[in-house]
Amino acid sequence: MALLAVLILTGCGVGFGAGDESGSAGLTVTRDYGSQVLVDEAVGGLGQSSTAMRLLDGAAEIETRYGGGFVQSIDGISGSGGARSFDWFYFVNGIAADRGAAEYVVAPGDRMWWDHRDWTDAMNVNAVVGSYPEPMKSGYEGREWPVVVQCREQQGPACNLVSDQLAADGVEISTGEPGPESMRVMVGAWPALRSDPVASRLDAAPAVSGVFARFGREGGEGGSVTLTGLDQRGGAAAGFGPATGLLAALRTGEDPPVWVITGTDPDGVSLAAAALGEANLRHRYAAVVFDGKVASLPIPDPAAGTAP
Amino acid sequence: MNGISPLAYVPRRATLQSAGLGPVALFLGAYLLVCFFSSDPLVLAAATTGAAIAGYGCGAARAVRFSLRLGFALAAALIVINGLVTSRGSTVLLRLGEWPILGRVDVTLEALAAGAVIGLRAIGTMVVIGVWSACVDPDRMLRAVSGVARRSALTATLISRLVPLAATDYARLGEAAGLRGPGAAPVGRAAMANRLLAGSLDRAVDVAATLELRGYGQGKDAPARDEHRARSRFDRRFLVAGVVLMAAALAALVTGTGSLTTYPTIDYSPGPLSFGIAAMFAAGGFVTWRRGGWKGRRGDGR
Repeated sequence: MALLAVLILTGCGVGFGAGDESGSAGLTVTRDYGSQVLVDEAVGGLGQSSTAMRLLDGAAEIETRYGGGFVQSIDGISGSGGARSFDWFYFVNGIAADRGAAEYVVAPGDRMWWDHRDWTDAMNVNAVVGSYPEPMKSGYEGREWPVVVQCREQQGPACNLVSDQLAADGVEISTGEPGPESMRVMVGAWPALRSDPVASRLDAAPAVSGVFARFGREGGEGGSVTLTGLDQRGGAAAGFGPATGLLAALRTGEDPPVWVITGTDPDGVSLAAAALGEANLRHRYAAVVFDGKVASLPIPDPAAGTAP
Repeated sequence: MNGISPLAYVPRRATLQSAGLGPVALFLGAYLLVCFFSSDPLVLAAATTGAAIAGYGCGAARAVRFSLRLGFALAAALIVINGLVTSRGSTVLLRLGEWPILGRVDVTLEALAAGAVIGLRAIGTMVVIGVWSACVDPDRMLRAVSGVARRSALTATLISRLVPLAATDYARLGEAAGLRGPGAAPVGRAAMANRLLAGSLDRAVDVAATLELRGYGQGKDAPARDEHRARSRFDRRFLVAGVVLMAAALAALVTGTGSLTTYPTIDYSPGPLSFGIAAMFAAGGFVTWRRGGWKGRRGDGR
């Protein structure tokens, strides 16, 4: 009976210490929307009780508040209030975590990303592209969403490029119509995508969309589509003309995230599709592609400064 | 003394009992302030020790022991509860799997330490309150605060009198039940509580009638202070000690010296200020002591 009880308890995850150590997770610590990388490493020896907090504590000096549930400082860089508010936020596989770090149990293969940022103008950035190929491969906290690539008209080559790249990066692509639990990867020029209810949030300010970019038209209705890159205060920082691509991730509530691979025109879409890859997207909230270059969004604003 | 609650006030010619209410409140208030708000285990332990020494010095040894017993039991419960409900902290000692409501339960060293600090606060607070209850005349307390908060003062005084009486009743009822002989059916707690409640209600009616006879219902003001009471020779001692300790308590709280950080890992580094304040509170307990002790001298000690 005692042996049976031990076996049952062991099966329920009961035991001494942090549990069996197996598997590893990625840990990235950055500041200012990923512009400065402080820690970027794979952490091995994940136990059954490896929370996001414990993983971080093993790799950096941290201070907490509110009974240990909130990370206040990492390696001396702390959150601060005042005119501009800075704090630490974390993403799991590119999805903003919905709970305190002490409550999130890290699974092997998860990509944990901590970023210290100015959230005054955009508190809710629900999804980012910087952990590609996550969350397409592993999902979030055991929820794996079937990935569906949605192509708009006249985007066959770009669509094929995206599908091939996803497959090459180990993402299993579902065919058929997307369901409510599907993760959509939308490929198409902005005029064709903006009718989608989720993608249309890109028309709103970063506080709503979580993306620091906005499409517009040069010369009013009927003119060519342009893209404006915004800084972390939500102000216009850089203007981009034709042949500009954008890769961004959006998420509403608990729904699966939606990735938007778009551009001002078909050439921009092709550029964005060609830029899909881990090297180009790493540590970026969203990316703008132009003239063969990939830049981060928000556009770094030297005048905005960083937290002390 | 059997049958009398350990926390009940007993008149003695000891220092705390003899001194004025203001100096005593300042003195014990400093201990209470530290026990409530400090997060420094060293200062908390010192304040608890000091309060216990103060209690022993003025003949409240039973109250101190009783408060310590209660405090330690409460502290143990707090440690266990915090260990179960707070899975924060980096040093996992025990994994207890998934529980209903609580979710995943990991018992961590840091959660146990955080519970221990809360428990230490509880122990200290109970000792200070125990010493106050056993050494400060509730009637004097009523007179002192009746001018400010008449009803609250009356309520507090009645509670401080009636709770020990209820404890005495409980002990007597238990003895009476035991005297029925070995063949009698055991008396359950519910039956005892029922009798105790009935007795308390009877007594409450008596108290209300007595208060009415003494004119409380007519709103006549009692003397605002203990005006006719002569100054005690211990007043100055407690006033000075109270001011010094209160200043030390405020310094400890404002500077946050020696604060313990428990999450995600335990970090505690008491500095010289922490040691100094702890020493002051531990030694402060001896202020209640006097040469020859209090034994054998009951009554007014002015």
